[in-house]
Amino acid sequence: MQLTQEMKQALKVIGKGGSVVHLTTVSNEGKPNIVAERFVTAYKDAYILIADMFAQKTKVNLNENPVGSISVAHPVKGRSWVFRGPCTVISHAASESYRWHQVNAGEVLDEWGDWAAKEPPDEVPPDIAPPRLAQRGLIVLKIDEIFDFKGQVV
Amino acid sequence: MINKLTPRMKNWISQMGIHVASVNRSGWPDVFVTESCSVDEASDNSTIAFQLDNKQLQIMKANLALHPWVAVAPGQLGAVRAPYQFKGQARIEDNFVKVDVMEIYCTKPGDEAGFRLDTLDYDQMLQFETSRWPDLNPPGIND
Repeated sequence: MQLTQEMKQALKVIGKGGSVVHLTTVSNEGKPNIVAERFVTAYKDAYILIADMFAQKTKVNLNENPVGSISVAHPVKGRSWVFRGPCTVISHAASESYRWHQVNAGEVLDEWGDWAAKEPPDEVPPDIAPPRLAQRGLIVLKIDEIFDFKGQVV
Repeated sequence: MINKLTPRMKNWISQMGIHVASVNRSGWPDVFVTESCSVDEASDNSTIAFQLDNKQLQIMKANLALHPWVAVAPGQLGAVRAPYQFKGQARIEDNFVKVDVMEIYCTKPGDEAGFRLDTLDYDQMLQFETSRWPDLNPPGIND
């Protein structure tokens, strides 16, 4: 499954840090967790990368059940997509040669491992910006399925 | 324990819609997005209700039979300005899904991410909000 150009552009639409998306993961017991994330980008036509800033429960869930969904949250304006597939965390502690599907840890961490320095989120108002951005790695979703907001396959 | 939503939470999710996650037989998330929802005053503002179409309801019904928990997050600008997550057990009544909210999280990025707001009492939860966010409503909606 591949992202279209429109989808790739939608994931990069706000400021420098990309669009705002919701990332959903699921615990081993079947309890979902959904949180908004920014610092998002398409990667190699079939992947979405998100900065792992403070994703505590997300990481616990991915260690138990390595799947996820990413739904476009803001702005929407017709970009009503939900991307679903295998999902993992590539931490800064990973070996440079570590590969997950077609994603090489050294390559993506070199480019996106310090996202706030690469693309400072200057447009984020102070009352919603974190006091300090501390990136632990990257969350990577491989896109196996794409749905609209009603759950229909796109 | 079922938890009461604050006016700010209620305003943002009812006007910005929600992203709702349930879990299917394989343990994968199914996410639907609604343009609006309501918070039931008869339940003391502790139940989120939203409508789905027939196909979505079939999926939701099958999912809830195996995994009763759902997670709800504010949509559109609410994803940024109203950083909450609501978790609870859901049921279907007519064409509506009703979620009895049992856990409320702050999802503001930073050191408060994941903080359990429902561990505060209601007045403390209100104080937490007013000390952080001045906007009781989304932009363009009168406070």
